[in-house]
Amino acid sequence: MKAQMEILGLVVVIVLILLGLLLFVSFNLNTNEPKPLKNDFIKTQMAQNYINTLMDTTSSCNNMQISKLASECENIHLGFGSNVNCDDGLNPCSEIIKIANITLKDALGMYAYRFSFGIDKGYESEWGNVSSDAFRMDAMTVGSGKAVLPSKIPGQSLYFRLDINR
Amino acid sequence: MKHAQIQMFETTMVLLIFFIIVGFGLIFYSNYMHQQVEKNRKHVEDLNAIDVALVAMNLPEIACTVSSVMENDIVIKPGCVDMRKVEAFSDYLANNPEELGSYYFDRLQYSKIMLNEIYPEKKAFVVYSYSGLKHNEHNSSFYVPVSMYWPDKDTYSFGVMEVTLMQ
Repeated sequence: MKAQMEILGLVVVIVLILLGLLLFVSFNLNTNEPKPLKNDFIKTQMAQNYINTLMDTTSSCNNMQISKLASECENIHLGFGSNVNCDDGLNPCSEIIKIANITLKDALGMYAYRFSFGIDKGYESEWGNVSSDAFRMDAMTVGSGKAVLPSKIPGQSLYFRLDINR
Repeated sequence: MKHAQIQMFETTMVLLIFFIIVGFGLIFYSNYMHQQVEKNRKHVEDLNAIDVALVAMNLPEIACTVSSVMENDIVIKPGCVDMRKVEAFSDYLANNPEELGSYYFDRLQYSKIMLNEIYPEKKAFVVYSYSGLKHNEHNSSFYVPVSMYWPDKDTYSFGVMEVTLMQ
């Protein structure tokens, strides 16, 4: 009788331990945790908002908008040259990169975003690029934005693209 | 007598260990629940901050307007604020502080909305600020790039709208 009681006690202890483990595992495997909203918003909105805002921005280069400077930049790459001379001696392509550098660092860098910004023409080589030091494409929260501008060459377009993560 | 004492001691020890295990379980569970509540609170705060930022960006009082393809019609230009409207809006709120606690509170809650011009100049403009009696224990900030339109010069600056929600 006493041995039976001892065994019963052991069974109760084992059941309690199993119950504890079950609760621990179920808490840790709980998949109903809310997703980080800010990261979702960054993924879907932030990069595109940045590109849209940049396209609108009036540069110090003859008060031209960035989207217009991009057209001049294309002229240079097509070999037509450009009549636009910026005050600081930069050509339109360099002017865009200069402004992107300033705005990216202040608009994204100071809020701990990492970024990679580039201008290119479809699959051709990049015309300009600005990246933060620690940008990694494989980071978990990657957001992308793109602006496509019409090109002088039919069927081709200029691409402004921004990838960000945190 | 001695045997009974040993049994009593054994029972006491078993109960003591049992309650220690239950105590650890309760501590673990309460910590876990506390973390969950904190996560949910942060989630709701982030949601509110994004909500207020989107409302602020599209407030007709400050948003840029452009002519629509429809004749005699104007529409809001997304992601753009008219700086002359911002100035007028800030002045209006300064002269009519009762609006802060009523009409705009429904839309912008306890928040501070700032426009930070980044290019070509670096300047900051307060659009709306209402903290009420909040002690700012939990602030949630959110940043959105916006075009800042200057109608007198017909130029666009690059800016960031900073929304700090006090909760």
